[in-house]
Amino acid sequence: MAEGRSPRKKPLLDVREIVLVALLASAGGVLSTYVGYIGNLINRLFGLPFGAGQLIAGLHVLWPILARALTGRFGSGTLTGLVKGAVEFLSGGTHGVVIVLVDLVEGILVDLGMGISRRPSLAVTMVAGAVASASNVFLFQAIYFTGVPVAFLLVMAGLSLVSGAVCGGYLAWDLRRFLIASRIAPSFDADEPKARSTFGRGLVGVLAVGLLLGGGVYYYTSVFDPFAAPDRAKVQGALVSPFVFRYSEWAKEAVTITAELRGTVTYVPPREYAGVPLALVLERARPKAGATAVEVIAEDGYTASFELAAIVGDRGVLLALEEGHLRLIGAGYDGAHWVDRVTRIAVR
Amino acid sequence: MIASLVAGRTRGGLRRATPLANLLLLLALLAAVLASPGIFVKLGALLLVLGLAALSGGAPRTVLRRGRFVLGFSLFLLLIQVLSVREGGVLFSIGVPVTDRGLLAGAEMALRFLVIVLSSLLFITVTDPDRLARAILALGIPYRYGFTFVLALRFVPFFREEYRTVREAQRVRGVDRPIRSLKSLRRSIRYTVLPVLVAGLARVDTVAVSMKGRGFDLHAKRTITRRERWHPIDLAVVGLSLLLVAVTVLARERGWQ
Repeated sequence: MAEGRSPRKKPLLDVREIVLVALLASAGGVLSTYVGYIGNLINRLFGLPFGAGQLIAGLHVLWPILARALTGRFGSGTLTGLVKGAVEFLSGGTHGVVIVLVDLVEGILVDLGMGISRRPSLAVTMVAGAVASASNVFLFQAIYFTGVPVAFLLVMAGLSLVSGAVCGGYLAWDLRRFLIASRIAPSFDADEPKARSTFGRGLVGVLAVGLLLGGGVYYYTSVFDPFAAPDRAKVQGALVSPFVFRYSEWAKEAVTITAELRGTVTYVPPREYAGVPLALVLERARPKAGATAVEVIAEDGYTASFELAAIVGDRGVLLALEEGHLRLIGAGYDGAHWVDRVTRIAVR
Repeated sequence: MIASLVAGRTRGGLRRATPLANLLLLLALLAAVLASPGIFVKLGALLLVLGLAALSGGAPRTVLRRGRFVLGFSLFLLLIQVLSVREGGVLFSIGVPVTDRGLLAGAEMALRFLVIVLSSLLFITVTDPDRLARAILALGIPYRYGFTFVLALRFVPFFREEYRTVREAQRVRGVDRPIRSLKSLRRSIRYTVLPVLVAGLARVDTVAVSMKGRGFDLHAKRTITRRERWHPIDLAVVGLSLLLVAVTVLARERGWQ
């Protein structure tokens, strides 16, 4: 049955902690049905078809927080989240396999958030709960709600944030105190030095997590668009008629030019490029009076800026379709202005 | 342990495939609906899921009937997109203009949701969780952590039973009042979550000692008594998964709508 007898490194979790994580993940997976039921009741309470259930979204992060708070081990939150998601998925949860990803991300954020301090204080558990809980809104947005108004998302995220702090963080902190006081669960503090986190360290941690989360949320909701169709670009900003540019619909307007790419690193000798002049695209979108610049933005957020007045009369700046993706060809501009995988054109 | 969503009269179709092959197909379907542009590939994926459900011993109608929530929510997604997207030609107005682009975006999101959830339902119906857990362990994942998944599945019937007992005990004592305020919500959580959790936690030490007593964690590696054998059906499922990925890549390259 067994093989290998060489000495081992100390494992991340001991057997008792593995059982604890499995148990909490299982409880979380099973009780998610109950959470869904309460969510529906709350929606009815508010007279809404959907959304108010975010008020109890924090109950989903209760389990990884509790695992992390009871074991004190980094990684226990992630493992609990992953296993909870798998149990929920295999129990026939209504979100399908996506729930594994959502729970995993929540678990990772719980581990990061609670890494602020060695002790699971109320503030730490509430911050971790809030951050982890709100992440579900942005993940579901990326998968199912692309294009819905930002205000709607922010309201949902706000509800989830509060719920994560209260139903996730506060409840986990309270449960841990109760479980330790009633000797149902031991405190890991007894084996560890009583190093209290200083206010400064805690503040730096909170700021770091907040910045990371804020940056991540901004990037994934406003910049990175992994599911954007490759031959389309949104034409938006200070325009009378914003629209979605599809190359196939504009192919008739394509012209052929000869251009030379001179970049800091890359050089491509003069060759022919076929594409739709950006000037024509802007003509259709009709920039508003006062607009002065055009930004061409790639899938990964890379942006090249042009003067609007210079582009309007220029037939050498093209949107070309190369290997199924939109590419901006900027004849006469340096290589930094040639943008690959264009997804947005914004007029400012 | 898991919901039986497709009437399992036969052992045919995906039920004969190994869990890993089915998992690969599920991931391929996921990739197809998330990465493909337009509705062409998504519609194909939906038809494929329904066809596989039929082949695996359940009529597509059964899957759809069991997934009423799924259909309701996909219609909701359609509506949200139709009301949010203002670009494109206006088809008609219902207070707000409904555009062709809005309808297309709504159809894309609804199809994406339908395929993800229905393929997940199909996967859990044709896959034995214990076999899946064993297959995952056989992939080379450290057994201490892979076993967490096995253990969590073992606790599911216990928690379901405990949850039912707590709810029935609450009803007997008249605690099962409807949730009409945040206070009653808090009370409901306290009276439900806490007893179920305490009942479970009381067993942690017993289970851990029992596992140690049976030699768990004594050695760095663990052998596996039963390995999954691959059959022609598995190769067919893997081939289908690769085909799906190839079609998705092609759809992105060519811009199929």
